[in-house]
Amino acid sequence: MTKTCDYTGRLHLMKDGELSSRESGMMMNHLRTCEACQAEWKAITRLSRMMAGIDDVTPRPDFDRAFWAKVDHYETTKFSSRLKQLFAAPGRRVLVPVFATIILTVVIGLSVYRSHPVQSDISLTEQMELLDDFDVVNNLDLLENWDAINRMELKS
Amino acid sequence: MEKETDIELMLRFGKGDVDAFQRLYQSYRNRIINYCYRFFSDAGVAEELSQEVFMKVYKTGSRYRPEAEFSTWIFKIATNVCLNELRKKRYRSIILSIDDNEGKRALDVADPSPETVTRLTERETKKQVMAAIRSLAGKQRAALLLREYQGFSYSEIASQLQCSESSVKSLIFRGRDNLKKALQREFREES
Repeated sequence: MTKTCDYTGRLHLMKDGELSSRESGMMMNHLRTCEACQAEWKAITRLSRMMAGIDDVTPRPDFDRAFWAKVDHYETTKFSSRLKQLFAAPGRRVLVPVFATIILTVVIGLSVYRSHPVQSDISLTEQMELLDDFDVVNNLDLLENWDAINRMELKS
Repeated sequence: MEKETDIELMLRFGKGDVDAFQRLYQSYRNRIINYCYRFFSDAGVAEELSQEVFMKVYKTGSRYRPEAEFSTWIFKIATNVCLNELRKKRYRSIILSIDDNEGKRALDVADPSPETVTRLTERETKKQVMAAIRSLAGKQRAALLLREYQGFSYSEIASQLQCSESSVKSLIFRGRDNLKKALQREFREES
């Protein structure tokens, strides 16, 4: 039958550096004479060696790339989730229609501003197939005075 | 020039310096992967979990408060990630059953040379040790791994496992005792 000793528990503390140097000295003295503690000491040091024998693993080559891809994904989703959080709080829900009104006003303003023809639009039309129609519209004053022009031509 | 501490690097990262995080990531990457590997004996799971650990560190960013050594803090995160994973999936029973078969296959070699026998025995012992570690309960496993491989003190382990120092003493003592029982055959062969 295995012998036991009240001090075997303290051997673990000694092994793990949790005893003061004075306590460790006392345990070392005890260890010289106690068979149960000698067996336990042998077992726990053997166990440590066996555990140390397990080899390390090295990460696969694309480990870092996979990790930084996760970081990038997190960064891109962070902004939208922050926006959601901003409006999720009950007190802040009132901000939703305010922001919506501002955005709508800006969009309408921009579209009204863009609907007025500018010089570049006219020159673009001139360069396209609409050039003929543009000529007609451009010479509307000739059409309006068509009868007078005809009369002048008949007289001459 | 004095070397920047890990805490200083993390605080710098909290202010937006991603280079500081990269340095921390490089210096802790292998330690965290191997901690997770010894917890589950599965390199794939270890990589997945260690990425989770670093994502948690990254997400902490400016909210980081240095209340302990950086290494104590990051291993606390790693321990929580591993213990959560252990709760989610029942690795113990699954892996043990797979390994039992592998162990029998490894020794089933016709007329092996003495070197092969030694190599196989060593490999077999390592497998047995890993299986024995996996057979430990979550907190016993964490306490023993943090002590044996990372060299943390009992007070640091207590903070990582959120328990008292006397609980850590008991976890380590019982953990070693259970390992000895699980590795009885190896101990008998040794003596």
